[in-house]
Amino acid sequence: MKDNKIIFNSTELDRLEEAAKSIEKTATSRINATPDNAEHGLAKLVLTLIELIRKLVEKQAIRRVEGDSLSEDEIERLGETLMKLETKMDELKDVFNLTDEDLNLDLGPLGELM
Amino acid sequence: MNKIIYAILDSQNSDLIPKDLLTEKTGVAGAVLYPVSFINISAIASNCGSGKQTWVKESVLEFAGVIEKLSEHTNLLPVRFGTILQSDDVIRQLLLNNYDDFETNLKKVANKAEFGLKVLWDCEKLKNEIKDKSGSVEIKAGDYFKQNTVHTNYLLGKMKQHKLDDAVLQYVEKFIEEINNCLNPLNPESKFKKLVSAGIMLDAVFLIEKSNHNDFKDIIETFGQQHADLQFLLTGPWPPYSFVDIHIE
Repeated sequence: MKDNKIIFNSTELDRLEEAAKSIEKTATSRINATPDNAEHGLAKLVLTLIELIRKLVEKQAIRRVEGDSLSEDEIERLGETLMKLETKMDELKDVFNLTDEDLNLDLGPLGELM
Repeated sequence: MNKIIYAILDSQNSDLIPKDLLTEKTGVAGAVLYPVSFINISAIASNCGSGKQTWVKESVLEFAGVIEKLSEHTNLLPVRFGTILQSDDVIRQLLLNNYDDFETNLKKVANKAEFGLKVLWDCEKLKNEIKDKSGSVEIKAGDYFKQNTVHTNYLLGKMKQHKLDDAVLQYVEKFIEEINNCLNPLNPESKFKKLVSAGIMLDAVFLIEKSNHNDFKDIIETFGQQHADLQFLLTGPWPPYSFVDIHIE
């Protein structure tokens, strides 16, 4: 960016660089499948979608608990299911060597998935 | 020969562009710039190879450089990088097919420029402050369930996390409301992207009348000083990149 385009800056240079890098990471977090890494690219795509659904399920489940519409047994089972889902996702991320950032999605006005 | 298009502008204002600008300033890969006109609007274009193009970072910078240089002299609609048409006739057809949209948008951005504001934060520090200050993120297990198992504790942790995320979002929304209130007298068009990353709380763009540029800058500076816990980066004036949304036919 040209210096003369900066009108007001109260940031520190290192913070700015850090922030720029974090944007760059998000910008490059697209599926990059080639014949050599097709499995990895596909895993990233599938796990990103699963993670999106898992987060939605989690949000809905918490709403139902807060809405007081579940019995004690149902809450116990819900907690167990959500916990197992998260554990399984962590295992799959390990298998395909993916991090939370790799599975991030820009959801536009809703912000980011992770 | 394919043509790269850089911007659409009002030909009636093309007198404002210095006569030698299009000959002095070159486009992508040093290509000569020229206007293709239809009634009172023009597209600024340059030749490019007819085969598959290989773009490099410099191509993007050269492309943006043309748009920025032109925008210093006239109102324009920036065209997305990589927009390539087959001939000048096809460009004229594009101007004809989208004439109304181009006219409307040129009026919308007339005598205005875009400014970008990034607000940087320490996300974890803010979360801790919210936890300390507000009891709203506190949840007691007994409020929702009686059992105390590993699974209900997991659920409780998730509920606390969601409450905290909601509180952070509310903080950002209140912050946006404050900015909007301060800028109300200038009546700008604006777009906000919340919680961009761990380091960036807000990425905002504003479309500001040229006559209000100094007032806008002063307001943001004052606002920044009032929020010393956050860091502000204000840039501009830019061509109206974020305020033109035309799906060309």
